[in-house]
Amino acid sequence: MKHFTEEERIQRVWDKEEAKTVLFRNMYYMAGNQRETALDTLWVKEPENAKTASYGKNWGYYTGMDEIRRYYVDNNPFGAKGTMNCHPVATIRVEEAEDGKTILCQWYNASYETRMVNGELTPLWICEKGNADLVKEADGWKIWHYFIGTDLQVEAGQLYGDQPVDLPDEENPVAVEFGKPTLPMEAYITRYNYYPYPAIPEPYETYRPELGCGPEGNPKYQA
Amino acid sequence: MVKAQYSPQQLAERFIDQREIQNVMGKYALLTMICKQADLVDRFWSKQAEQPTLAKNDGWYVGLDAIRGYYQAISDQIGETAKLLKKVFPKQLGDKTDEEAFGAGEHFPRPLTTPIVEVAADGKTAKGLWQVMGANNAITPNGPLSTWNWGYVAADFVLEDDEWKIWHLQEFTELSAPVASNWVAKTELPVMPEFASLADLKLPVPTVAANLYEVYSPEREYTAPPKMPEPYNTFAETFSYGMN
Amino acid sequence: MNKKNMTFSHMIDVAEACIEVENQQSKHAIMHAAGLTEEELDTMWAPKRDDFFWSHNFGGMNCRADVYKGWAGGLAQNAHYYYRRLLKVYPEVEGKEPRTLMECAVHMLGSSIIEVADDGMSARGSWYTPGVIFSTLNPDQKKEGIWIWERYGNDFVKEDGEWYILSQHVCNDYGGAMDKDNWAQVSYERMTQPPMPRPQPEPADDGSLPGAPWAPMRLFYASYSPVQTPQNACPWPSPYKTFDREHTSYCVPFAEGEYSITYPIPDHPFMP
Repeated sequence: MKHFTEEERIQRVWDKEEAKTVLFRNMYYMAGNQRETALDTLWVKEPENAKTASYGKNWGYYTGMDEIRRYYVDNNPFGAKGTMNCHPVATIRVEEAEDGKTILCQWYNASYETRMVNGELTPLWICEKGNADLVKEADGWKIWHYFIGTDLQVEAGQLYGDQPVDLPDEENPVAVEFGKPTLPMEAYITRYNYYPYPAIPEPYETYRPELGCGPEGNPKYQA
Repeated sequence: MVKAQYSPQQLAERFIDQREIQNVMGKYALLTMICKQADLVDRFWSKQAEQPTLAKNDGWYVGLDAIRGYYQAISDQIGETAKLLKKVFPKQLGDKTDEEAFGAGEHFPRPLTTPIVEVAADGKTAKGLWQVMGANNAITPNGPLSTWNWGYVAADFVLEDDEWKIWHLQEFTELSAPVASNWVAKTELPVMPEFASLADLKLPVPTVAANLYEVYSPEREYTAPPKMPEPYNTFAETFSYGMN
Repeated sequence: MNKKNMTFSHMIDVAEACIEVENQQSKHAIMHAAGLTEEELDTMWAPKRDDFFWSHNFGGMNCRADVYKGWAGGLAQNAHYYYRRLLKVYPEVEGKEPRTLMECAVHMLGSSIIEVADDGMSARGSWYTPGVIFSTLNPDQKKEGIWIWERYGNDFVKEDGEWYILSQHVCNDYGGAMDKDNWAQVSYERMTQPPMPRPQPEPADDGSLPGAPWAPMRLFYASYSPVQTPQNACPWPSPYKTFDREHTSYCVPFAEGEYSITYPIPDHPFMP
């Protein structure tokens, strides 16, 4: 383990605090239906990072900021009367690389949404394992890779046990909302409950794809 | 506003401050959960700051007397509920004094998540915003009922005698519906005769009534959470969670 | 904690401790979700101490061996039973980790209160957790999901520069089928209606049965009911000098602290 001076240690404490705050702000922007602001202020901008940025869910990844914008902003299902969402960030674990260039985060949430499903305003509970790789750019910590593993979704007031074990994607409102990603793949599997991707953040020296939540670190990834 | 640059010493102090503020709000949530509402003002609120306010969805409680009155009314309701429960459940509660039965059937968890805390560069004030995964488990005119109370808490704090105290507090409920119900289709529950008298227990009206945050309904226009704290130098430079 | 009494070095130690304690508690939650309790105890709990403590409503375990037996062992026994039954319905699960297959217990940690000892060698934290437990494959071929709401009080100790868990006090308040049970209503119905007969568990093909909860210490927390008065079996941690298992820890029920409940715990209507 690398030795850090006291000045470096307190800076690393704040690196982690700032990275968490980026993710917390992202949640409030999402709840406030300010998705474009979130992408413009909290996500990577430097060209190489923007090119390799990713937003993944169980069904694959949108890659590159243009594609992420196409999903996250252009196909935003919220904003109409009666819609709302809240995806809190809790149980967060955060680790910074020894080289100080990247930070890995993982968290859990129980979330709610109300949005149109099959033409009807529908209340949903959604439980997720969230993950983000952040990278330090000139103006602070930015989201580089973002991955939400949906563990379950159920309509409020309905028994989860009534949901088919093999729920087809076209009947899963979260899958339908995610659409057709840039890189479709079976990225997160809940059939056997806990899924070990993305890895639990642990102390690390420098970023490697298998530590993070981008597509290249996914065990199902094929170049 | 240009973000202030801090020395290592200042960074260390600022971490302790923001952690302590999270502790204060964690304690606030704990006492709320275990029915100690009557203790909240004396323990957590500023006694020196100008015009402390408590904001609920339907308006402002202005000044410590009004805030204390609001919390005391909740405590009184809990006490009255306990007296009723002693009659409804004589086997379990009949031999208890009113004090011993206080809080029976009432449990109000307020898990605070997604914290954003900004301490002013001058170190005299701070602002915080939390998401609340809350629930009210209580005796209601409809009988014992668990009701969602998800929403947001936002606060301004002042440093007073080396302790962080609440100056302005906004507690907004977004999701209020019986647990295990469809909140788009409003749930109507029958009044249970043995608990019907609880409908007479009322909270004091706000000092200044205002529609500060509308609880979710299918008719509600899209509603954002309270504004996020941003880095700031002095309180005069930033917005307030109090009544302007 | 008060910065006025701290040197720069001390503040850095405290700041790092707060982050590591939260990190450890979050990792505990993740390992719990994965069902890897033995692995958590092996790698995340204080390696140089035997005075572990873990408790739930049904009782407490007050040393390393008892925590392995009562907590990790209890879950593993249930997982084995469950795995044997699941295998008959879903042969595809053969060879998979039974503890992970049994359930995924996810705990959202909120309302953290953290204090680091003045000597920097221990820390205490409390949280409130709304949780969700789900499992996709079950012997009855139906998904299962429940809400579960609990309070945590944890002690952490520093050994060789690393932070480890020493104790975890879990107080369960309620839970129920997601999203069908209204906890207070269900509790009231249980109080006022004749009890439903509890089905006996069906033995697995190797004769195994789920284990009854095992804990050598008595019950010390009661779940919500319409007649349950407030309990604060996890008083918040106050500033403290050094770790003292008898007074400044969650290793004993009802550790001293402001707003701690009075003993004995009120009788609970559902407990013998």
